[in-house]
Amino acid sequence: MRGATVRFRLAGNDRIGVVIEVRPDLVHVAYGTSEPHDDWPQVVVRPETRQGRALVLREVTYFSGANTSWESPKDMQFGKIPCTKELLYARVELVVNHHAQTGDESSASDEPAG
Amino acid sequence: MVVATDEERQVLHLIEFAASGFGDPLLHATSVDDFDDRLDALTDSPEALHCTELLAPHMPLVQASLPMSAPLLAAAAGHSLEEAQGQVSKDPQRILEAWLDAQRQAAQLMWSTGATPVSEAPFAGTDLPIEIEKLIFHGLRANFCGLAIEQVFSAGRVIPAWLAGALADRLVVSARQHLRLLASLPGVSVDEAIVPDTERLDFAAIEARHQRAKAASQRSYERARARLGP
Repeated sequence: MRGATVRFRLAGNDRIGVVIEVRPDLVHVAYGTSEPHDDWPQVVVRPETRQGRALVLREVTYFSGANTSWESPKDMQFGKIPCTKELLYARVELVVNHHAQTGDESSASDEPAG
Repeated sequence: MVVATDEERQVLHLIEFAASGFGDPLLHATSVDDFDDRLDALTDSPEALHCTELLAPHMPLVQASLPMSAPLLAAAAGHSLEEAQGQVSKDPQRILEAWLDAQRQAAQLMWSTGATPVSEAPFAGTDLPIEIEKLIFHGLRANFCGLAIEQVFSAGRVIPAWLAGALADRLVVSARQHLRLLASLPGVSVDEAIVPDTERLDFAAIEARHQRAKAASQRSYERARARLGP
């Protein structure tokens, strides 16, 4: 399941993400946003690229290390094609570096979705 | 005339099987994206990984039987390597030779009599830091490209120029990345002109960062469980 592409609702928004870690009850998802965060390290994925097609993107999407969320697999829609390996590793590296630097105290979606 | 031992003959059969089973499907790719998807899938295939593990201790024989030369491949497709792989590297043949040599050294260290058991080697477990996992992926990808190249030559296949270019490009790019890992292993010697010190891995720092990230991930998981409930 690691590397699966997923769609889910988070704080009232539809999100597109990649499963980066799997636990028995929850999965850790790195999700993208339509807004860039130029002051954070990020990966930019365009819809017309191989990575963009795997995620079925409709617009340029920005992935940063802070945008992750633990979700229940039953609340997610899984895509047919897995994330490309290069994008998966790039995403996990951003999250690992973010976690290692901040101790996860500033994860964007760790608070209740509201 | 060189007479192969029974063991060598078995290894050669295994190489033939791997080239046909895992290299050949790469040659049926219909586009560069399809080729990359096939390569990604192979690096997840348990059969392909087991086969790679079986071949790893026999690296000198494997290398002797694989025409792992990107310029040769590009020439076979009728164009130069520079055209085939764009601006990826200025000296692909040197990189490939250093990569093959480093693999031989690593295999000798890991499988020679009296060597540290593989299970005790650095990062031998499944809990790999992402930097290491990524470079191992590149090693697998380069070796699968090698098997496809073997299939091109052994079966006398003619492949389109775009496919030869993609094969040569992935082979050199991934060999270069994997070489960073090999050059960082104690006991493996790689020319600093090919992998400078600044590109080698600091395993202690990587492990420390990995453990910090794991602890942070565990804390965020526990908070999420508390938030989401049973």
